[in-house]
This record gives sequence, C-alpha cells and structure tokens, in this order.
Amino acid sequence: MAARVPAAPVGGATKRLLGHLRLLRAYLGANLSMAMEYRAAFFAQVFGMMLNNSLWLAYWVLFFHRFPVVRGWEREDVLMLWAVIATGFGLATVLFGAWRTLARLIAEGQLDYYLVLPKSPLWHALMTRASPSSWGDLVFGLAVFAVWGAPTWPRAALFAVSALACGAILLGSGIVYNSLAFFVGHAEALALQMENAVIHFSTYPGAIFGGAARLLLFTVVPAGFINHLPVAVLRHADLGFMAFAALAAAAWIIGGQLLFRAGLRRYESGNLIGPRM
Amino acid sequence: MSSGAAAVQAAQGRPRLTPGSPLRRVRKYFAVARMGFATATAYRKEYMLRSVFLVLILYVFTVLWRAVYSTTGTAVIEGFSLRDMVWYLVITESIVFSRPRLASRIDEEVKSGTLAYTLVRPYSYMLFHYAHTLGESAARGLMSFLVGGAAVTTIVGPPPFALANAGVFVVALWLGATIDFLMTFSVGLLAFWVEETSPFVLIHDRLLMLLGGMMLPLEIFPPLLRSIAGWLPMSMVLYAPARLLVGGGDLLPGRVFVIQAAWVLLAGAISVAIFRAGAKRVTVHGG
Repeated sequence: MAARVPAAPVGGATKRLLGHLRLLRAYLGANLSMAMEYRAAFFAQVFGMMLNNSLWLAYWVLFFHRFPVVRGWEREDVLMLWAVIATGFGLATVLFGAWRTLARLIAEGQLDYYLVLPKSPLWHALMTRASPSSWGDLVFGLAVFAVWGAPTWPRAALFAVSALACGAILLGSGIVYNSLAFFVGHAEALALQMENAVIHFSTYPGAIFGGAARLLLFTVVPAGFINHLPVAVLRHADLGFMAFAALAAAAWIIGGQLLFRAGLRRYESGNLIGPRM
Repeated sequence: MSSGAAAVQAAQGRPRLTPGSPLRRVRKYFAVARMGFATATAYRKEYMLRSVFLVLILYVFTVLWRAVYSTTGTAVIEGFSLRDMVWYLVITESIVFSRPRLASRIDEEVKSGTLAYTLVRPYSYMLFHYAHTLGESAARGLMSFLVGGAAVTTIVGPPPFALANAGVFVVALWLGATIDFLMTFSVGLLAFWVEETSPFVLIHDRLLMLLGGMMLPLEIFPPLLRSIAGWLPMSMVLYAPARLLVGGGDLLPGRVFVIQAAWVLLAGAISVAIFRAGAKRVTVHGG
C-alpha cells in the first residue's frame, strides 16, 4: 500500500502544537507508568546509567589531572560538556525515545497505525517510547551542572539553551539518518553508526579537531555544534555561537521533518496485524 | 565405538577416544571454539560496519593525543611516543571490540529457560561458552586489529613493537581473555537473582574501560591509583597484554602471568560457585 500524506490544514498552528504537547504529556505519563511497573529494573537502569556516566567523567578527571590544559580546554569544560550532552540526550530520549528505532519501524512497514490518526505520524511515532535509562542521563546531566557548573540564574539559562540545542541536534540528525530507511531499505545499522558517531564526537573537546574533520563536524556529523558549547557559551557567554547552535538545531529538526515527509510518499505498509498495548 | 574399531584406530596410530577421555573432551571444546570462530566470520559485513566505528574511535584518540603531545611540547610521555600510544590504543580497542555480548547471552538463556535444556547435554555449560567465546573473540579481535592497524598506519606509521614480544603477548592475551570470560559469565548469571542485568553489564564494561587502561595506559594514572589498578583483573585483561606487546615499560611477563593465573583461579572459583547456586534454582516444568 503506497501511503498518502495528509495535507496540513492552513492555520491553527498553535492549536496543533498544543494538541501535540497534550499528547506528549499523556505519553510521558504512560511511558513512565509502564517503566514503573518493573520498579526495581527501572531504578537499576537509572542508577546504572548514572554510574556509567560517572565512570566516563572519572576518565576525564584522570586525563586532566595529568594534562591540565589541552588546546585551551580544562577539566571544568569537559564536565560541562558532559552535563550538556547528558541533559540534552536524556531529554530527547525521555520525550521522543523511538527516534533510535525509527529506521526499523520504517523498514518493517510499521507506521500504518500513526498514518490514520490526526497527529503528525513522525512526532506521534517518536513519542511512543522512552528508554528508562535516559532518566539516568537526564538526572546525571542536571546534577553535574548543579555541582560543578557554578549555577547562577544567567548560567542556568545558558545551560538550558545549550542542553536544548544539543538535544534538538541529536534528535534532528537522528531523524534524518533514520529516515534514510525510506530510500535505502534497511538503514538501521547505518543510522545507528551515524548516531553513535555524532554522540562520540560530541563527547570530546571541540578544539582538538581541525581541517576536514572540523568541516565534517559542522555538516554531516553535527557534533561540532555540541562540543564547542561549553567553552563558547558556558565559559565565554558567546551569544553569537549560541544563536548559531540554536539555528543549526532548528535546521536539523526541520530537515528531519521534511525528509520524513518526503520519504513517507515512498512508504509501503508491512500489512502487519497485531495488538497494541 | 566397538573394541574392534578402537583396536584398528590404535593400530593406525591415532589415540583412543573413549567417551570420557580428556583428549576427547579437549577436541570437543576445540570444535566449539571453531564454531565460535566461524560464527564471527560468517557475519563479516556486519562486522566491517562495526569496524567503521573502531576506525572513528581510533581517529578521535589520535587527534586527542596529538593535541596532548603538541600542548606539552614533549615527544615522549611516560615512555610512550605518539606512535606507541596510538598502537597501544589499537591493541586495547581491538581486545574490547573482540568481546562478544556474552553477559546478555547468558542472561537471555537464564530468563528464557534455554539453560535448562543445555544442562542435560553432554558438555559443560560453562566450558561450552568459554570455548565459543574464545573462538568468537579470536576472529573478531583479528579483524579489528587488521582494520584498526591499517587505519592508524596511514596516520602514525607502522607498529613500533618487536615480533619477539608476540609470544608473551599471546599468552597474556589468552589468560586475560579467560579472566574476562569468567567475570562476564558471572555478571550474566546474576539473571538468576535480578530482573535486569544490563546495568551490571554496563558498569562492568566501564570499569574494564577505566581501570583496565583501555583509553589511558596505567602510567598516566596518579601513583596510588596506578599501583592499585596494576593488581586488579581489569588491567590484566587490557593493559598487561597491550603493554607487553608495545614493550618499553617495566612490566615483567613472569609477574604478569602469575597475577593473571591467580585471578583465573579466583574468578573461576567464584564463577563456579555462582553457577552452582544458580543452577539449583532451575525448575523444569516439562515442555
């Protein structure tokens, strides 16, 4: 079955947005209740992720203990980098957890359910899952900022914008990579590799990359916008770079949505019949 | 096998393989290891895609360490030149990439009940997984080393180590892989008692990464932590084999082998105890 993409009605954008936010709130509650059904497993995953991230920080603490300054980066910058990424990634995955499995949904023709409902198929599909361990990332990121980020109201605002931009870049690029499944079939492995590349590059000081790598990190693998945030925004309060990163985040989200819509025209149902619980 | 056939076989100079003979057992597990090796090589395409990520990791490490060497303005840090450091990382990363998802496999077998069926088969459950893991790791490790090695050769040059180190490296690698198997197997067996083992797997992996010296050789650690980490099983899995192959450090092969053997015995005893305690909880309801 070739899918028809429903045309968006003109006007009522605010109403549609509010409708989606209400749905997001409902899914957030439902996902959390589902996770709490297995309470011990949920908390084990949350604390496991926090401990996992702490051990990554321990690596950087050891590294900067031996080499206090590397290309202008110091220990606090990497701590803030991890605070921003953990918060951004946690937020994106708690709210839109299915973005990391979108390619599989597309390749297996499992989007039918979302196509016949009045909400955006993309955002509706993304809301339906939340990884319990992402709560660990979110709490960890906020805790690192609270402890080492010298929080004041202006810094908290800069941190919030940085984390939101980071989350939007990870989410937007993830939607783009996963939407390739509309065009090349089983793109799960490719999408996963690209997502991992963005996350991996994002967790290293931006200043160490130069030349062609730098160009790549501000285009195809948009980690450069993330790994420059701590020094540019949180240390130097560079509002120009912050606006640049926010624009990049918006561009990736819009690009992802456009690619998904374009891909939807090529979508074929898997004619899968199954219960939804 | 009839006695007549055995006599013919003995006359042909081949050892007699009665069902319980040690040689027959060893051959059985060798066959399982070959199976693990074949399984890993059967998914070459999937593995090559994973290797892209390995190359990416090695690239990031190379630029990071290049930045460190240029910032400090020294050619050698704690006995490592940039080339030594990058090749050290190729070895530790190859070992990490060679590790199959053993804990998740055991966890799944415990939870799904498959374990109950395998317990009655004519092999040791633990030795089966040990042999399969070694075979699989050998294939994956070799592929990783070749891909990673080829990538860094183009950036920092050919490997700096002498071939003479290869012998002690292989022994240390095997003992290290055995320690890692025993620890990971024990983590997977926790599924007998807990709903979710993935957090334990994650923590175990990260401890291996940090205290094992996957991304930082132990020489970079503060002195106290270095001396503690030097005795821990994690460093015996990654740091010790890699340092012995790269050479140039003050690590003595004999000392490494003794520490590794001690950990094999201790971790082995713990794994067997956990397995026996867990096996008592297995209930078969027909099927």
